[in-house]
Amino acid sequence: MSAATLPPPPAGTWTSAPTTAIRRPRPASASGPAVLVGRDLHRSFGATTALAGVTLAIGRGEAVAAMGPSGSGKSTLLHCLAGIEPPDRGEVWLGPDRIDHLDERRRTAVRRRRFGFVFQSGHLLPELPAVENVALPLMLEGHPRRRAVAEARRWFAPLGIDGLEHRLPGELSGGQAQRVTIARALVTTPAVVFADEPTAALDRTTGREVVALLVQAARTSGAGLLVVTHDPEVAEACDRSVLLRDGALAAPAAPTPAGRR
Amino acid sequence: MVVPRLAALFWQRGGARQRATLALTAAGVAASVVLALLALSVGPALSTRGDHVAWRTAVAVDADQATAVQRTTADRFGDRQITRVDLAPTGRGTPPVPPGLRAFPAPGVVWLSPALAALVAEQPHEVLADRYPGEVVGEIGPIGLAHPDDLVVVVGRPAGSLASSIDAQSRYAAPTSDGVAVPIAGFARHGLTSELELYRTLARMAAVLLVVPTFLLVGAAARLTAAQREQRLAVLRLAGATPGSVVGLTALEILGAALLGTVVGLVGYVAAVPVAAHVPLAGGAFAAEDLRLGAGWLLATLAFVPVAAAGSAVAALRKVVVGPLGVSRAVGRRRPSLLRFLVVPVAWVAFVSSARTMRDGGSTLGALAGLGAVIATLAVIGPWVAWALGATLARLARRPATLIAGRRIVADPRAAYRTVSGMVLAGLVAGFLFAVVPTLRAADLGDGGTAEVAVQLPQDQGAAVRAAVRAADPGSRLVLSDRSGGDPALAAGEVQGYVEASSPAQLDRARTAVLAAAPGALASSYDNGLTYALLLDDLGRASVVMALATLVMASAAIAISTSASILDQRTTLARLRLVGTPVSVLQRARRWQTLLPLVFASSGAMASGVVAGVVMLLAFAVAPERIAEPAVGQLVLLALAAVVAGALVVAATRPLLVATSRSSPRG
Ligand SMILES: Nc1ncnc2c1ncn2[C@@H]1O[C@H](COP(=O)(O)OP(=O)(O)OP(=O)(O)O)[C@@H](O)[C@H]1O
Ligand SMILES: [Mg+2]
Repeated sequence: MSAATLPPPPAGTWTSAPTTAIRRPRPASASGPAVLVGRDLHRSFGATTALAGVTLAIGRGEAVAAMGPSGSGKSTLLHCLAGIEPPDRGEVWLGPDRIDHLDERRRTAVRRRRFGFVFQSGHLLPELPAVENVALPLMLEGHPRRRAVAEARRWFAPLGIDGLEHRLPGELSGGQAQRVTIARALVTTPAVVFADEPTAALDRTTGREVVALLVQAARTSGAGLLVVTHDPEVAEACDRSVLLRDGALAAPAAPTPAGRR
Repeated sequence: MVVPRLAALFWQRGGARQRATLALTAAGVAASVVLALLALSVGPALSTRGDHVAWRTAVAVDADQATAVQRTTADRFGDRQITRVDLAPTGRGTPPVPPGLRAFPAPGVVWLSPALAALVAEQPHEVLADRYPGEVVGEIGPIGLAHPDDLVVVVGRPAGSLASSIDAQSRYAAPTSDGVAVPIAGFARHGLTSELELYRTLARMAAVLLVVPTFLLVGAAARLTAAQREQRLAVLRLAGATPGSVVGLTALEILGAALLGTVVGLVGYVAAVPVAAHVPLAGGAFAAEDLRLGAGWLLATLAFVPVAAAGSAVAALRKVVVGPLGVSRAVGRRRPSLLRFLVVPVAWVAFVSSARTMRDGGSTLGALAGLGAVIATLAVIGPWVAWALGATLARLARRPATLIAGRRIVADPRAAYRTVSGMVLAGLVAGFLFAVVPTLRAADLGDGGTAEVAVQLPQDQGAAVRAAVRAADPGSRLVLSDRSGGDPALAAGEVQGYVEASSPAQLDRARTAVLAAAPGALASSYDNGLTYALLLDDLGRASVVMALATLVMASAAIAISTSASILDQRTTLARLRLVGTPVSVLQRARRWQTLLPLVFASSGAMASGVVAGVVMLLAFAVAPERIAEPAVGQLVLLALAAVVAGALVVAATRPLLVATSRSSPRG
C-alpha cells in the first residue's frame, strides 16, 4: 500500500448508535462477491481432528459469526483462514490469490497488509501509547510516522475513545482497550477482520457495545468480518452465522441469525 | 515444606531452556569463584613473600647492644635489581643467623641466591663476580627469598669494617635507608614492604570487582528462571501457592546452581593454582603452596557465595509479584526523578576530598570508599540516563523498530539499565586503569637513559678506584666531590661521588671495578624505576585480564537479561507476530533497546573512570602537566568490543525470539 492510498476516514460517531440499528438483519445480497474463501479445510493435531472439511466464504463488508461448542474447531478455522497456521488440506483464497500454501514470511505480510485482528486481550504493545499502537501497522507498511499517527488519531473519536490517545494500554479499561484494538485492526483498511472471542474478557454490556462497534466499523470500511463468539446476541449483530460441531459446519451457512441455544 | 517439593517437581519437568539458564549461572559463578579466589590468594602469598624479605630491612638497636652491623644496598645488574646485604660482627655476643643461611657469614665469605649464582656463573668475572670478593660458601634458601628468581647476595665483612658509619647512622633520621650501616641484634621475620602492600590492596580490589558482575549475573538468572515458569507458577498460585513460595522456589534453584558453581569453582581454583603460580607478579613467580588459600577461606567461599547468590536472587525478584493471573508487569510511566542527579556532586565531592585526605597522609580506605561512592552514582543516575535516551529515541523514531525500542526503554528504564550494568562496571574499571597507567608509564622515576651510580668510599682509596674504573672501560669515569665530610651519612675520611658510563653495560663493569678495587665502598643504585616498571607490567597484565573477565561476565548477564525479557513478553510477541509484525522488526527493536543504553552507559562509565583516575593521580601529587593523555585508542577499542559483544548476544538470542513469537496464539 502506498502512502497515497490511506484508508478513508471513518464517518460519523458510532458509539451512540442504538443496538436495534445494529441488529437489523441485512440481506445476503448486500454482501457482494466473496473476498475470502476457505474450501474443504482440514486440520488435525495428532489424533484430534480439529477441522474436517469446512468450506466458508466471506463477502465484502459481510459480518459472519462462527459459533459452536468448545473444542469444535472455531479458533482453528479462524487461524487457517487468516494464514496463521496452514491447513493440512484445502485451499484459502483471498480474492484472486491463494494464500494457504505461502511460506511463513509471506503469510506474515498478508496478515499485516490484508487482515485485521481483534482478540480477547493482550495484543496491544503495553509500552506504546494507544495512538501509536494504532499507528504501528501503518508504520510497518512504511508510512511516515507523522502521517501514520495523524491517520490513527482520526479513529479515536468515532470509536468513542477520544482523549485517550496518549494513554498506555495498562491505563485503559478492557472496553477502551478493545476499541483501540478495533482501530488498530481497521486502520490499514483490511480486506477481512478476524475476531476470536473479542468480548470474552468484558462484561456483557461492554462486550455488546464493542461488538456493535466492530461490526459497524468493519461494514463502514468495507471489510469482511469473521467473529468467533459464544454469545448469541453478538451473532445476531452479524449478517449471518455458522455453527461448527466436531470440526464441521453443522448447519449450512444461513442468511438468518443463529437460534439461541 | 512446599517449596522443596515444588522445586523437585519443576526440576523434573523443567524445560531444557531452564536447565540451560541454571547451567549458565553455575558456570558464571564457577568462573568468578576461580578468578576471585586467585586474586584473593595473591594477598597471603604476598604476605609470605613480605615475611621472606623482611630480614633485609635492618632493625636498628642501640649500638652497645648490637651483635652485628647490617648494610643493605640496592645493587643492580642490567635492568634487574640485586639486593646486597653486608654483615659484620661487632665482636660482642653471638651475631644472628639470617634466614636462608646456615650460619652468620664469616668475613670474606659470600652467600648467593640460586638465581644470582647462576647469573654470576654465566657472566665474565669482571662484569659481575668481582663485585663480591670472597669465597662463595653456599646458596641462600627459599625462606630468605621473595621468589626463585630473587637476586640476593650476603657478604661477610670483618668486624669493625662497617662500624665507620654507625656514628653517622645515629644522626640519621631513617635508620633503614639504603646503604646505611645499622647496628642490629636480630632479623625481622615478618613485614610487608610498601610495594607489596600496594600489590595486596590492588589484588583485593580486583577480587571485589570480579565478584560484583557475578551477582549481576545471578540476579538476571533469577529473573529469567522466574519468567520461564511464570505460567506454571500462575497456575500454582490459582491453586493456592503463595508469592513467598514462588520467590523461595527460585531462590532455592539459584542456590543449587550457585552451590554447584562454587564447588566447580573451588575445584577449578585448586587445579588452577599450580598454573597461576607461574605468572610472575612483583618480579617473580610464586610457590604454589604460598598461593593456595587455607581451608578456612575455601569453606567460607562455599558458605558465602551460594547464600549471597540466593540473596541477590531474592532481591531481584522482590518487585516481581506473582499474582494468580501471572506475574504482574503493569507498564507505567516510571520516569526517574531528576533529583537523582544530586548524588553526583555529593559523591564526587566526597571522592575528591577523601583523595585529598589520602594525599595528606589519610587512609587509602577513605579514598577507596569515595571511589565506591562515585561508582554507586552510576547505578543511581543510570536509569535516568536510560530513560532520557529512550525518550529521545522514541521522539525521533521514524521506523517502528526504533519507536518500539524507545518506548520500551521509557517503560522500564531500570530494567534497560540493569541489562547493561555489567558493562558499566567493566567500562569504569577500564577507564580508570587506562587513565592511570599511561601517566605512570610516562612518569620517569628511574634513571632512564643516564647511566650513573652513586658511590661512597674512603678518600684515600679515591685515586686507586679512579684508575680501576678507567681501566675497566675508557669511556667511564669516577667523579668524586673534593671535600670529605659535610654529609651526616658520611663517616670520617669518606667521600661521595658518582660513576658515569657511556652505556648501562659499561656501567655494570665500572660498578664492578669500583667494588673490586675498594671492597669497603658503597655503590648504590636504588632505582624506583625498576620496581615501578615491574608494577606497571603487572598492572597492564591484570587490567587486560580484568577487562576481559568483566566483559565476558557482562555479556553473559546481557544474554540472560534479554532472554528473560523475551519470555516476559511472550504473549505480546506472539500476538505481534500474529497480526503480521515481521520478526526482523522485533529483532531490530531488541538491538536498539540493548545497544543504545549499552553504548552510552559504557562510554559514560569509561569517562567517569578516566576522571576518577585523574583525580586519584592528582591526589597522589602528580603535577597536572605531567598527567598523560588517557589511552583513548584502547578505550575506544574496548567500547567497540563491548558493543560487538552486545550485538552478538542480541543476535545469538534471536532463535529464542523466533520460537517465542511463533508460539501458539492460543491461551
Ligand atoms: N495446538 C494444538 N495442539 C493439539 N490440539 C489442538 C491444538 N489446537 C487445537 N487443538 C484441538 O483442536 C480442537 C479444536 O480446537 P479449537 O481451539 O479450534 O476449538 P474452539 O472451537 O476454538 O474452542 P473454544 O470455544 O474452547 O475456544 C480441540 O479439540 C483442541 O483440543
Ligand atoms: Mg477458541
